[in-house]
Amino acid sequence: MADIEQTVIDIIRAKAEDHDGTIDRRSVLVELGLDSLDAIEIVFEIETAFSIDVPYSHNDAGPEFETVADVIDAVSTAMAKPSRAVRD
Amino acid sequence: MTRRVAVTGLGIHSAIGSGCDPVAEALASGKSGIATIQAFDPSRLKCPIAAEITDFVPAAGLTRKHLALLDRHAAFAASAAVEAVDNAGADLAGERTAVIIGTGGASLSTMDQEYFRLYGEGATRLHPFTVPRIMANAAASHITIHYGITGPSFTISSACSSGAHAIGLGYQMIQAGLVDRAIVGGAEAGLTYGNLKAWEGLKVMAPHCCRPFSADREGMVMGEGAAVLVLETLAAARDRAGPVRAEIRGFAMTSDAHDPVHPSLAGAKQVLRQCLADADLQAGDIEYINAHGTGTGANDVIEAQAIRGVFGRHNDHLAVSSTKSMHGHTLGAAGAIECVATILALARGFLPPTINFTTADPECALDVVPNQARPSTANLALSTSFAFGGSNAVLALDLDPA
Repeated sequence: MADIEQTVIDIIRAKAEDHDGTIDRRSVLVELGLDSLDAIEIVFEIETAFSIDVPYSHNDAGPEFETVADVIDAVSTAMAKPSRAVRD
Repeated sequence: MTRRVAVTGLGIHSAIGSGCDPVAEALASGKSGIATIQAFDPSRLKCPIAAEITDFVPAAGLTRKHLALLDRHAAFAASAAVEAVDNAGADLAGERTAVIIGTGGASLSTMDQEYFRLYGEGATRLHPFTVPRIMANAAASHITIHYGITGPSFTISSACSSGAHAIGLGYQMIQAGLVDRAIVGGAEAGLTYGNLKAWEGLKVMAPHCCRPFSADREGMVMGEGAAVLVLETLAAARDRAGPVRAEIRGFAMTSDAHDPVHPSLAGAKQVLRQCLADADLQAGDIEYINAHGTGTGANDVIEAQAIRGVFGRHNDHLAVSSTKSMHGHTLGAAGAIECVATILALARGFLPPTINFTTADPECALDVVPNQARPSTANLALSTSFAFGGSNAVLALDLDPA
């Protein structure tokens, strides 16, 4: 799990170029200066890094990623699905 | 009274330089931008050379977030637009400005790269910005957003005349009073393995060198880049004491209605004559032509015959060069890059050369300014574009408008 957390934080940090401070599970995405286009790129890079599908759509209300922890939890849930090896 | 149209801003990225001053110096010294392709391993190409931009540094103000949404051609255009707008010094925001960018293949770089990942590497997902990168109006759209321009914006695609058509249409829209200002130009980034293989199939590519109008010419060499111009009414430019770099004196566009890839002598003559008429100039007034001059067997002979036919006895006083010998054939950007090259060279008092010239071809009996730039006081010039599909476009430029 530590690896997932660190990889997710590294991907988010690369997009949060206007944020100087630390990024941890409690960090709020909008407070890191991230917008909806950043979110799409972050989801893509996470999907590529872990070979998973993150259930994220511009067209519905959820899941809402408010904090870094929300993203890490979504990745952990997707990683636990047995079918992911077949999909990718 | 007809509204006259001034060029007040110029921006350029090409294989012979990025920015007006480096490009002007390259044109003056006859620098070649053509070399073995570096972007990918070209060993499976029969013609492994191109005029490639190997050191692209986007203009200040274009952030990672901007660039993430742009194909390479659109990034060239966006960056050239920053230079052009900066040196025009005009306020371009609002609904009285148009943005028109020409491109032949638009987003070939993104398509080649992303679809290779899908078909060739078995990827299951593409970058989420693939669609905004691929949309053909991406460059024009980006420029409107960047500068708060709410007037008309669109992309023109007419193969190798795209850039000239974009400039000419901006000129006509200002002349007609539809808008007061326009950001116009052309952009292309098609140096991909897939696109170059496609061009090889046409048997028009040069394996070693681009030498337009030379008897030993061996074909065209593809280039990439972008050039962008800021146009406004001459009256407004003078009122605000803006930098009038040239007047777009005239423009004409025609279609050959003849053949998809073979040029037409009648079509080339017609568009030259129509441009002179639109500019209210006589053949004897023109001192320099920046030729389409691709370096293919067919283009150069037909273009030379057309020029000789239209200019007649005035050919003795007419210089005609192909700067494609230096910056390659940039396809949809060509008309814009060559228009900017003409303005840069004439403003600095020289005619840009046709480099790599070795042997006169009796079928191309023109003064092609071989190999070395030549001092000149020429102010009236044409820039010609003859595209596949038979779409022709010619711009008339006056460096010292009355």
